[in-house]
Amino acid sequence: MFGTPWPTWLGWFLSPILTVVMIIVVWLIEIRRNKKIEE
Amino acid sequence: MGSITATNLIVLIIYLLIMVGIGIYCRRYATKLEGFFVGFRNLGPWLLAFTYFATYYSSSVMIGNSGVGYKAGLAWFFMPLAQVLLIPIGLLLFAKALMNASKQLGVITIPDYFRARYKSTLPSGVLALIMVVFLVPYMVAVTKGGALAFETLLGVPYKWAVVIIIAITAAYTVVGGFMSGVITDMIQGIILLVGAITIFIVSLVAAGGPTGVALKLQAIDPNLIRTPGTLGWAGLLGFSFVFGIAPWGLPQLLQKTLAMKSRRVVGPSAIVVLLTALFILYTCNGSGIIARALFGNEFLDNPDYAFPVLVLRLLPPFMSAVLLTAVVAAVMSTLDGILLVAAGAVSRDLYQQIINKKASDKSVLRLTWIVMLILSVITLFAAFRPPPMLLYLTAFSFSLMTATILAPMFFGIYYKKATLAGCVASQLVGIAVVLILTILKVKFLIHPLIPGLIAALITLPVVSSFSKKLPEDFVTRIFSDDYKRGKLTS
Repeated sequence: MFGTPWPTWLGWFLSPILTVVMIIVVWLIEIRRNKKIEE
Repeated sequence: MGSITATNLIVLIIYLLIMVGIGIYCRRYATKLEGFFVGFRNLGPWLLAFTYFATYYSSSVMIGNSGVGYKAGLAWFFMPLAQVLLIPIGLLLFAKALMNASKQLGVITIPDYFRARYKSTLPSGVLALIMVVFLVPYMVAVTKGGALAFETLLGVPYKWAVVIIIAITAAYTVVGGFMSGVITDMIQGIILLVGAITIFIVSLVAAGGPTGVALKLQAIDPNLIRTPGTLGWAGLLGFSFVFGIAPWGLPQLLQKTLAMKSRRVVGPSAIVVLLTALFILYTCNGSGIIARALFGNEFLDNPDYAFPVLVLRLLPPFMSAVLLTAVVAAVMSTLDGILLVAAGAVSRDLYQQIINKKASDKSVLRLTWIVMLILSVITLFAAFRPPPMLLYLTAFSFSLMTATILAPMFFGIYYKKATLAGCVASQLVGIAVVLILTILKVKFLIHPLIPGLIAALITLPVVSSFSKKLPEDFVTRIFSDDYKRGKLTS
């Protein structure tokens, strides 16, 4: 992609993908924890 | 390189006046000792996220990161990986427990947490000493980086730049304490992001988009478009990991979580920090890489010029003034956080808790102001003539603090059987390992911090298993559900 070898363009996308994954993880953990504590 | 223009001066003076104004406005929060260190403990998600982000990322993210990007090429986009993974995990692991300790045990500094959790001033004293000794070189390094950028972009003599940065930061921090740091961080963080995103987009367009950058880099040196490229996997992932794990043990960042309004703040603020970190790292790292594509090997001997030169050559005067302000903002937002925790280590943790236990809060607050001024003056003179190997010393001080803080804090929160002896032993082992490996220049693939951290993490449970336990009722109380829900007070 963009004339670069695959490990390079994969590197561009890894952090944004991981960011989205972490946002989902944080969201799920927090909702579950806060619900549990409120109960 | 740059020169003083009316636009630069006006933008900068407006910015500096706003900072001082915020300090004066926050005076109301800072008249009592607790307020000075943790405000009214009412930080919401936006304030927490931006103060965390702006305190961690100083001018080195703009100047240093883009400099490495200039040298390393496209592989440098791998660098944010560990930070986007570890920064939110760190907040999830520690923030709520520190907030609870602050609200229910009266903790107002990070060494104070050690004293309250392990019921002794020994571990807090060890940490406070490490902080006082090793945060000063860090302040010098941050100031030096900012003043050099100031000089390059604006043409202000280096020494004047040092004086302006330190005088303004000390003024608003001494007057407004923790809250002035937090509110200025919010503004400084926004300026930092706007500046970094602007220069990234402008330079990317100037270089002909991603394909244009890749083609130009390939023409200069094919290694610049390869991953891991010149840094190698160990260098690339090692850098990434150390800067990802460091926030877990930096007192100036942990201090912010003491002032959270409620446990509900953690999730949203972790998400905001995550996004701001991603944006700042991508744009700053990217700007350095694009600078290589645009300028070739022109700055190979001094890659720290990559970012300032991009600004000067590509942006119109008003925007370059905003970028200059962004660099100054990045410096000040880091400096204010460190100044506060370093002064707190002296006045609260060494003086009030160890030297003079009868000292009133009022006299400790007065001492805090004096210590802040003394530390500012020391930093000022040290930054005039920065000692050699300053960056080396800074990286060492980061490692030492993280190795001293992380294990006792982690086990203090999650391990009921953690004892005072275990805590102190793990601190000393962490310090010793980092110290010895640094002096001997031994590297286990990456960085002395990693073996230091592992040794500290192993030592604490081992020593705790055969040393004197903490009082049963105290441990039961701080591990109870009521305590975790914030329903118990001391």
